[in-house]
Amino acid sequence: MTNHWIDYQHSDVIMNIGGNTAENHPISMKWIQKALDKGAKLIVVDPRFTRTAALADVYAPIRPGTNTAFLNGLINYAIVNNKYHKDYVKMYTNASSLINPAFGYSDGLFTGAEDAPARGPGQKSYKTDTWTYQRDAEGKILKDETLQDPNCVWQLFKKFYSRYDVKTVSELTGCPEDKFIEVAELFCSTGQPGKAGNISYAMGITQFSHGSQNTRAISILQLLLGNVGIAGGGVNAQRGQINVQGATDMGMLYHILPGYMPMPRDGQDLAAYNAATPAGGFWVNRPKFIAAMLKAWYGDKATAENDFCFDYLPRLDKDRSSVAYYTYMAKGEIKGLFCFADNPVVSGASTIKKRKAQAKLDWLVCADLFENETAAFWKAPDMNPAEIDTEVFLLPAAAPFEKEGTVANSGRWIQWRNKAQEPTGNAKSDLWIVDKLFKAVRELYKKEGGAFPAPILEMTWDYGNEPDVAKVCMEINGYYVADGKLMTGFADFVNNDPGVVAAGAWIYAGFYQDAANPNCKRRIKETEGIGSNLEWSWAWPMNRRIVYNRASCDAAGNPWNPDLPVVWWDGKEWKRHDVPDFNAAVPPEDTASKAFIMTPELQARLFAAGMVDGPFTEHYEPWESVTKNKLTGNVEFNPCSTVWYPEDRGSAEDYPYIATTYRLVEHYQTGAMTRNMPWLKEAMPEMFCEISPSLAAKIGVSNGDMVEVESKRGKIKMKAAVTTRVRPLIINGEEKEIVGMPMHWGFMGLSTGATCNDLSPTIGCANTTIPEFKSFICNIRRAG
Amino acid sequence: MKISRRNFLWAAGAVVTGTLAAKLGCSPKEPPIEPTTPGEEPTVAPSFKEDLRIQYAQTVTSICSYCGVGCGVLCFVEDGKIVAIEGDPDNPINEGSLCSKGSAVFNKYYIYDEKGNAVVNPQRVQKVLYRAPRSSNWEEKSWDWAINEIAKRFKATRDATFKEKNAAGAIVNRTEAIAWIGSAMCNNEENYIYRKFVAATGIVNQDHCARL
Amino acid sequence: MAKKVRLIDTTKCMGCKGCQVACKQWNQLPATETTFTGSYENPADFAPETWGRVKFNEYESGGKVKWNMNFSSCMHCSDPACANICPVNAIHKMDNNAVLIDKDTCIGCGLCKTACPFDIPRIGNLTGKPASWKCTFCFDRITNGKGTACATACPTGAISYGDESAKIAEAEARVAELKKRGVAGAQLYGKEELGGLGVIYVLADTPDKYKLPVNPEVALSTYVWNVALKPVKFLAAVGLTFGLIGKIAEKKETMEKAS
Repeated sequence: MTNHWIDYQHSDVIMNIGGNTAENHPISMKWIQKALDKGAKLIVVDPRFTRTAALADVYAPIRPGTNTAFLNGLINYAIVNNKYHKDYVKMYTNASSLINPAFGYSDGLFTGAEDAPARGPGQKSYKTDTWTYQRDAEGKILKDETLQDPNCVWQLFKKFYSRYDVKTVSELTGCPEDKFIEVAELFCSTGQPGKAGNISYAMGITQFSHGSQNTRAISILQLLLGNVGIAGGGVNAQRGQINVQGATDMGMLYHILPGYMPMPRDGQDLAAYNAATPAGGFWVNRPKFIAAMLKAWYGDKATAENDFCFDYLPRLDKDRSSVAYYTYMAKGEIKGLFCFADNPVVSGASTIKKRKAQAKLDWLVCADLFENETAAFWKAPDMNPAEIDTEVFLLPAAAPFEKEGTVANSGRWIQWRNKAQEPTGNAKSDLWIVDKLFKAVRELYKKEGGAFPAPILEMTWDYGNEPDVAKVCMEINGYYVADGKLMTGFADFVNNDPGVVAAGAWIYAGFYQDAANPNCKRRIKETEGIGSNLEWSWAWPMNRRIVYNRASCDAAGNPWNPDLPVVWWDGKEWKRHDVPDFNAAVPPEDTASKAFIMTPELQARLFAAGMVDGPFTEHYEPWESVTKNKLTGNVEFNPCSTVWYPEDRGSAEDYPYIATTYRLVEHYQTGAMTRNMPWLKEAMPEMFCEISPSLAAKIGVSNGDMVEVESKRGKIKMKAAVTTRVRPLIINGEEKEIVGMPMHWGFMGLSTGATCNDLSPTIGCANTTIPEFKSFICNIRRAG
Repeated sequence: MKISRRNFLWAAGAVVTGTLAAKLGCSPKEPPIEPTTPGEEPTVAPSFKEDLRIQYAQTVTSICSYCGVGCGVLCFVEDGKIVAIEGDPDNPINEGSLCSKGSAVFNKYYIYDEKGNAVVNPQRVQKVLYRAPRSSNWEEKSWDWAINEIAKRFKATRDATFKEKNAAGAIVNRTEAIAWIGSAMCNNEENYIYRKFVAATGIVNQDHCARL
Repeated sequence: MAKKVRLIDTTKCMGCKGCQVACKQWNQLPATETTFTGSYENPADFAPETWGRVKFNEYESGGKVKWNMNFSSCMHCSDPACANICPVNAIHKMDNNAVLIDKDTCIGCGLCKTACPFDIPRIGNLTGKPASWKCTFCFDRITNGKGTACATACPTGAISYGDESAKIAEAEARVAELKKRGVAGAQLYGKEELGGLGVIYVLADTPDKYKLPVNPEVALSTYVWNVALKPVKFLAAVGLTFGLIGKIAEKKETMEKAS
């Protein structure tokens, strides 16, 4: 999220696309309602008429898997109807930058496509040497401020998106033309300076083989309309879990270290790693961040001479996401799995395969509050325990309120969670479990030796006999190595040589700056301002609540909306309702073209060379689709996604309906917790699917009847909810039906039911490998 | 502190301190309120102040455990046990409100039985459980046993599969045979030490629910 | 104590059921067994353990889908039929507008359920003897300056709680605002109905679209019973209970058919 929940109250138009905010982030509706009370409008774009849609001013249906087309259509609409924010685009984006004349696009592929058999038959990877800026001899990007050069980003951009006219978009997405125009008129009205449009989304944008391109398309649209950096605007990825932001910040993903530093690759030493440091923007300090992390991890052992023990870090070779490593597990390459508070055999893709893969493990360690399906996979109806050799340890974990620590919400606010009672039964906190486990492992290596023991023996690990959260917080926050003084912010990195400070996660520097009164425990509510609440908890980066907030003003520092200033230049100095995201010590003219400090070019990117699958956002069909892609020649789905199981792809002849999956407010994710909570089981007791009355009539079922839904991966049974809230859509001239299924059920717990992911395919986003849960194909019939 | 049993409410298992009628200053045989006939103003009884069941509870602020909104909650604690949970009115994000999941979070710890007594949610895993190869059952184990046995298995797998160099002779320092799933349900500090564990031991197959 | 009301603005309800569960949480009510019947409305009925629940109504209007949700619970009528009919005078109207059932006195005869124009109370054995159960207006909370559990939990302000006059003014302003925004069917419910309810609704359409009775009425026999048997009501209570339940039920059914 570039903005935060409370800031939603300032929007003029809110578009919830690929997210069902009333059900999945219900308290967001408190702030949306405040905006609506003031006259704002709410647009909901969703395949189903959801509980959010029930409160929307405009509801637009969309075929699952066509968000890029829909958003591209809005981008084109803003351009051709002259509804974009011209000054903003010129000043704050790379619209004027000149691109390599060799760059181009045709028939679904950008220049540089090469066969990539490792990604599957017919799949591609890109050589990106044409996706580059034109630069002068000193490396400065060449620009045409008139935006007329045929190779400038703006001209290439306009041309690329011109293919997404209203008719094409309507045929692809199934959204009727008049409805699309209604959405476009309303949302593009925020392109006027002083108006704020907010796009909020969740997994209905990301869980596609082209998910990252969807988020890119949202970002581009928001830049075009001048909606980034302003109050009430933003690209707002609504995080679905209480600490998914924080777990990501801490680097709990295979490709990153804490603070979003990349993992080193095979053979890469510190010099090579640092040589790849971005040339501009805030990332130029990366060598200092990595040195600080290594000092925090290896203490006195980490010196400039030994590259701060950089070589103790494992190197990354390939995709090691959970989607990928379950395929390695299925091949027997993985012997042991630790699973903390997660339930991949319900939440993962193709869960029948996942359960079978786990049977190839030698050992499995799960820590959870309840006996979830992952720990009990050997009890699944389709498994025979007598044939499964896997040893399983299920460790009773303490729940929140039975332990203390911090969590980062979607708006990046790091709030303190107090402990209210002792853990239930013999449960222990995850902190305790991992602390004991690490110490036991280290003891074994001390005693027996073993493979490459140094990183284990020398890793700093001194949180007390019973681990003290405060000590971990101080290490994450960072401190001066010489005297242990806690860091207060980024300046402590910037102003010192590498190795002077030690900090576990550089973006958190300042969240725990004082052991007695840490910022993350602050509880002072704002009494005047724009809802930033700068003295409530602490947000990264630098307690900033709206990132890129320089863009909320014009070149001279006058807010686009004088009624809702985030920061403003009063003629002598910068005034603020938020922490400036720029050098506020200098006059506005000096920062006018430097509003996006996290990119080396200091401008936001309408053209982004860093994407695996293309610098502009093309509509690709989902891996499984009920229609042909008219725009992309022979390329049907994302050419850069890895196809793990080609034989698992169904055809529309056998599976004529679109399947999509989603969440309900009454349950949480895989239901491992909420299906064991009687009040929630009572409120939503059983698995079901939602189908239209026309589909129900076709297959001969009534509301509440049992049906069987089948995909190439498997079949499951559940009750049908026959509802006008789901309707067939006209796609490329043909009527197509949708089957919607919630993702919350499994075979364990108080409430059991079919797992919809038994049906979902093992295919992921080309950039992130997030699975394509939101659109695949299925058949449905009456059961029994 | 015991909660008074308010006989118009529902709080079984506690001491009876008086009936509603007694609080109204009358007995049921002498109705305090004359029921009305149509057109007549209804009679009302004067209110009395009833003890809040959380009156003497300690209040602990915390943060809800579900979505990424990060709502504040108040845990009311008596004798070391949570007795009620509701939204934190001081938290600027939710201003005291909660959705159904947030309102139900008490059920993660306790449920009410048919008599209205709070009992520990029987679905909670409360002991270390172990499933042996080919077994159809869990066995209860101690923490010491589990930590030591897991450490042994972990070390054996790591030692057997650790690679310092790849086929080309480049430094890799990893084991490809162990995987780790961290969690968006756990605190930052927990994820941070997961990350350290993973890095120190050379695990590269690591992910969390951001991708699931 | 000033008269309090619960204001339910259905145009702000997203059906999250925060109210429904908060009611159970605060009032320490166990869950009931439910099944999925094709609607999100669960529990599908009131029960001794279910005092408040969210109703869902899905229909089409002008080619558009409508999905109305709203919290449903005791209306805390200003002249409660349940209290009037109660043979043992176990039901009391309080000056803060709450309608309370004294469980020690209540014999669980069920007359209140039959007389209630909204079909709210439910008879159960929660305390070991039959008694009638329903929302208490969170009497313990409201007499301690707190809002009801449902209103406290509500994220969007669809449920709020406060002084009657202020809340009615707020509701009237909201109806006017909705009309101004083109919601032709915007209307108030509960201000006039049955001489004024303890729950005021802002609706965007007719009450039936929210599963509310369009013209709630108290059966005349409720009053007849009251006047005729006033002097000996308590003594006659148990003996007459069963015969009368049938009569009133019959009467109510006829009225519903007529309406």
